[in-house]
Amino acid sequence: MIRSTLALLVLCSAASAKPWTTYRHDNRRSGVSSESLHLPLSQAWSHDGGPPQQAWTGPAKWDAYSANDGLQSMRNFDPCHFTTADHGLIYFGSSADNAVHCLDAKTGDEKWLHFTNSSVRFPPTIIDEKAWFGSDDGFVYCADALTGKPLWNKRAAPSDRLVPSNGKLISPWPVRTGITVENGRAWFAASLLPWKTSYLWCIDATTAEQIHLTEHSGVTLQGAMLAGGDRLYIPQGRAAPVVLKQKDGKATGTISQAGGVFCLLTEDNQLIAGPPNQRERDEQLRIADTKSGKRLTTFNNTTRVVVAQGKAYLHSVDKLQCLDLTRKGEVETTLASHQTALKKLDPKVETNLPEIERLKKALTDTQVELKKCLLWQIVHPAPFELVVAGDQLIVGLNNQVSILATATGKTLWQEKVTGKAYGLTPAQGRLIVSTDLGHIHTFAPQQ
Amino acid sequence: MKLLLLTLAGISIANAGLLSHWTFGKEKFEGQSLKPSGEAAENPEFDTDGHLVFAAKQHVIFPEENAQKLPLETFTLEARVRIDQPQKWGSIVSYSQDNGSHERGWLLGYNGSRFSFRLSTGGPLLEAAATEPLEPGHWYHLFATYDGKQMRLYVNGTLASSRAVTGPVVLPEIPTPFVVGAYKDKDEFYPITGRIDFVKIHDTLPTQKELATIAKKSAGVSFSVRPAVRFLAPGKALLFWEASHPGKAIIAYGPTRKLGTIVESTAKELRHELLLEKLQPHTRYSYRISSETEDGPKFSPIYEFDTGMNYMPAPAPSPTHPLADNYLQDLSNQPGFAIVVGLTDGSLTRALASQSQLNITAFDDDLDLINTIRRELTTEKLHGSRITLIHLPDLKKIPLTSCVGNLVCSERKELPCPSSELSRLTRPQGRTALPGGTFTTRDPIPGSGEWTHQYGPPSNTAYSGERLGGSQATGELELQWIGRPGANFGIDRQPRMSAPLATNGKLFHQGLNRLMALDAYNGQILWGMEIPDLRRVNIPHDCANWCADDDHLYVAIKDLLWVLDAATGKRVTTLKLTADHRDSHEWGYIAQEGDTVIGSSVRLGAEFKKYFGDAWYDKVGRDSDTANVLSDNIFGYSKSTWKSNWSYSRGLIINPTISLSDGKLCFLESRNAGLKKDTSGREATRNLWKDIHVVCLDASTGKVIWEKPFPKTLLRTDAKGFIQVSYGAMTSEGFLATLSEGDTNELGKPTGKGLFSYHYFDLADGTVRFQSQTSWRTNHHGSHISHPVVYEDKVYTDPTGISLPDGKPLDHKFGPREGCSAVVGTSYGLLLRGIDRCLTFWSHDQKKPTHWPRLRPSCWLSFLPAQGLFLVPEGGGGCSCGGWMETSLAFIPRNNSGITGSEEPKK
Repeated sequence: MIRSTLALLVLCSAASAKPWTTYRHDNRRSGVSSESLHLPLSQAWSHDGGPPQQAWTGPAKWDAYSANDGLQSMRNFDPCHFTTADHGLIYFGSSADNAVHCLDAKTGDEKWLHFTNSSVRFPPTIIDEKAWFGSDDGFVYCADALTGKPLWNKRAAPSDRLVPSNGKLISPWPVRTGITVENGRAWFAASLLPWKTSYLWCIDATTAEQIHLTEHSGVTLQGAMLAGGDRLYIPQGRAAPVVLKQKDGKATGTISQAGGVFCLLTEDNQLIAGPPNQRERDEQLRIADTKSGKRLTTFNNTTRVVVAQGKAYLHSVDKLQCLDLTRKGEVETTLASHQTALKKLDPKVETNLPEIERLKKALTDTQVELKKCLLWQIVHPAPFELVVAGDQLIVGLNNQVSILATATGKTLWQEKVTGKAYGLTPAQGRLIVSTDLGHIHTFAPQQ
Repeated sequence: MKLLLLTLAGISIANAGLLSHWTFGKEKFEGQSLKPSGEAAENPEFDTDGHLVFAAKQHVIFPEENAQKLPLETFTLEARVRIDQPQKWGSIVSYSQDNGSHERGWLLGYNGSRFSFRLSTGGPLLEAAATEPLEPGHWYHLFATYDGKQMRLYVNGTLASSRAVTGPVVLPEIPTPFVVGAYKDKDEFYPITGRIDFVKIHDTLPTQKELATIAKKSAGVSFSVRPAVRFLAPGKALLFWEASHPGKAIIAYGPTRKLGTIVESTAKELRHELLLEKLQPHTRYSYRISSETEDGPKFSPIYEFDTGMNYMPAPAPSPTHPLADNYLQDLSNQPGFAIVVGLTDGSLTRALASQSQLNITAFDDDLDLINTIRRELTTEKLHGSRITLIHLPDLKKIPLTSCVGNLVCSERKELPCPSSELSRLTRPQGRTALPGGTFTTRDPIPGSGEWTHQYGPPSNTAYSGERLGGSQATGELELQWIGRPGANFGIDRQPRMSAPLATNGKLFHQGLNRLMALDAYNGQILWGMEIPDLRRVNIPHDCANWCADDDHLYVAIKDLLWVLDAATGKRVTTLKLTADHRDSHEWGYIAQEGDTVIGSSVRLGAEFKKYFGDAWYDKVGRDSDTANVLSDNIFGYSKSTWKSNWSYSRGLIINPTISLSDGKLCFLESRNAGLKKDTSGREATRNLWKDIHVVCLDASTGKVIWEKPFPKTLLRTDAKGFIQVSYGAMTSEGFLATLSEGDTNELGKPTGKGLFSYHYFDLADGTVRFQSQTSWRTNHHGSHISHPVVYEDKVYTDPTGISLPDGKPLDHKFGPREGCSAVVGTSYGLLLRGIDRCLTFWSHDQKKPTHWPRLRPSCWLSFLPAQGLFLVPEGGGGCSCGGWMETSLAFIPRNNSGITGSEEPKK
């Protein structure tokens, strides 16, 4: 009875406000919510969650032999306490104190706390009033999302064994993929050491009964799992993401053009991921076709991108840009076909000359069209995170968060935060910002 | 006090041999024309000092005939410059073409942040690049010299790089701009950002006196002991050094190279210690030390330290507990890992944390109790950092591998598990505290070895007697710990750096100008230090810069040996070179045995520091990068008095051959008197191998026990062949000199083929027991500089070896060995970089390899079997060529791990 009343209360208070129920909003990790925030916002409260204890250190300073400096981290999947939000509540998993925390979205008061035996690196996934989360202790937990009451837990690792790691104990098979609930099934992996078998679990999201358990060798499954079409995609840090079938959990291969732990799936199942490797001298994100594994586009000097309604928002060199990604794809296809056709024509054959001239002109025209795909760009510092809320582009910066108009790039609102804003959750009318120093700032519309 | 930037006032060598001299002051310009002959590309702008501003596209062009008249075999380019923006293809003065494979001419400039001198003798532009980065915004004096044999680059009068080159410079055959302030050729244009005071061209080389004058005027603050930073606690570090003269010092530091915070050190004596507090986490700090002298303020270079390497534990304020003192007694106050099995109320656990630096994990079966204490600790920001509570329904068997805890105890009066379980969890030399006040200390793991020197023992055998519990395959080893330090610790793939060391339960590891001590059994970081002058590379052609014993870590820093307390990192004392070498040499070899510490003197600048770019150190043939580092003398200190006992000085001692065992010190020595007089201390010429002797000294007195002329080598003759690398190692019976000998054709070019020749001398009298040989497998990726693994009955070099004591070739090969790393031995196998270029365990019994996928060691030696463990501190994360794990870890033999049964998921 109490539980039902609480649920009703929190549901009422959050009426008409869109939740953010999993890491980066959805299983495509799109970072896109359909609902705009009512501006201006002001800070409602902030919470000090303690400095995150990341699983991995930063990358090497450089590859000196290759004279390649500025190497990018390919494993920083846990730079802050990322949040999810639903039912008027805010959730985060802590790599610092090993717990999942639930805070009142309005006041920041702690509603419940659920400890595990090691770091929790992704926020809980909230489905059907249940909070699902994995831990470095090798277990997956399910708790009542409103009260925190433990419902069940399951050991995903093959044993209870723990090993010292950075001052804590972890399982040699930690759960570092988060929990992906898709079509009534919950997916997670227990994995770390490529020389040990890794385990991918699929259980019924209602009954928690096992549906599949598949074993995978030679992999290290770390970073938020993605789901799209009939496939799952799991990042591997410095190796290419693994592709698996949702039907049976079996691996179909890897996407060699991808890498790193920043991964998102577009609505037409293109995988945007990066950095692809550490060999590139510029920071890179690539778009790969998930069916062929081929590279479709490369964004240079870019670490973050968000795609909404066919438009890509990204930062390159010193500018924040908006690209018409749909149109860009079409034009690039045309461009490629013109180039291919041109290569086939021998200019020494006189009869080819009119067609060569026509193709050259078409190429020039197409290149003009390509430039038109850049809808706007503004001088802007490099962001740590980009998400979209309706017609707003939210930008996480060092000690600052900004909201820009997606149509023009015009700054609509900005506010200071403490640390680098890696986590952005626009949900239920509020903006929740997580920083590398462990702070969680919540901004709400001014009364 | 206002800090002044170091500037040099028009220092230049005398005008002997001066061919051209241009200055770029305002008074020299009329419009865009520079007197006497140049032309500025853009309208000239000048700064407040009257210097031409090189920015945007500004550069100055001179008539091409001026460049074409310059000498091609003996010349000096001289310039005084300030670079404001490092960049690729930065050029101060150039007359060069770089068009695909067609490269001609010469260039003095910088590449990235390193000054660079390039020239072509008909092939690609060859480069001599400074190892130390330039500091943007600061003035430098540069000499680039060429004498037809060597190109040399001097920065502020000090040799920054040299390279052997043959023949006259070949100039471009096509019209080429003669440019100051930009790189410009047929199709490329890269202007610089900065200032150029003057450019001169001479047809003579600077004399030593001239170089010394410039070096003196350019010199910064001088130290008697150079600076270092040791981390104390989160946000807190100690900066310490000893000045050469008493007086106050000013320290400027900050999170950027603009520094920012300025503090004064007013130590009356020479030793300065400055506590730096409120440091930001994960931040690379820069700092500079300055002092007032009669000549005005002197400044150190800008040094760095990275708080991302500060893993010291935070203090845990909490009440004391009557048992805590007892439990912690006899444990040194250093970080570590404590295990509490069974709680009452958590008060003892809290007290242990507050009264020590231990990280404490407590197991209990009462979830409600645990959660109550967890909530309290979380409020205090202690849970998950200093104290972690773990719920375990059954406390009889703790799911940890054995030998993990520095302290293992219980809060309960009655143990919830057998006492043997607490003992099992206790690491060697760790403490088990049982209810009722019984304490036990765990003995070392039977069959465990000590890795105190570069190749294990000072005898350089690359085998410490470690049995690894009889393991001989990767599946027989289980993960003991995993974690820091990671890829950001080292120099990308630790290019031919000193190996880690492991002794007395500690693991020591070097990174990029930093070192760290870890608990070998649980990976807990004990202390870390950032030492700007630490780095030494190309160990195959030199010797390591450190060694250890149970109590101390001995680290060679410039001209001193720092003796550090192994437990805390605090400096106990410093040892000096022999008096005759203190101004001209640096500390070279370092080893210890019993009461003796052995050192040697190498000439200033002889040690290798370069790691950026093509620093692979295994190019086939005689090359400046594969030159041997040589010692002018060798000497002994007593540990009990820290006093020097003896010194020996005759010829040139070849550093990688120096070996120490059972009080005997053996090495190869070149007694070529002419070479001793002329060498720079780093020698690639065949002259090194004239008049070679094998010498055996008494390590405690320095007296010669025996010495013998080295017998003729197998492949190399006076006219043909070369020695790629030479190593010394000792068994209980003999001194083994292993030479990697390469073949050459009639023109003296390496054929690519070669062999390892083995020369075994009786330790008693130096009699040659045998000479034998095996062939190179290949001539790249370190295969041909393979360091031997020496057992009492056999020796392995890639891909096979010989038996002892007869020297007969083995009837089998090991491997596959892939990649650049060295090979080490255990009683039951060899550890190497092998299958898929990953860490591999090759079994002596099975003669087969198994491997750990994606585990990449360094490009020389970053893994060691010691302490009953296989220790693998991170060494290859900066190699951008693969999906490496980028982490440190350790394995324990499954036999000793306490793991029983198979590990399979509960379905």
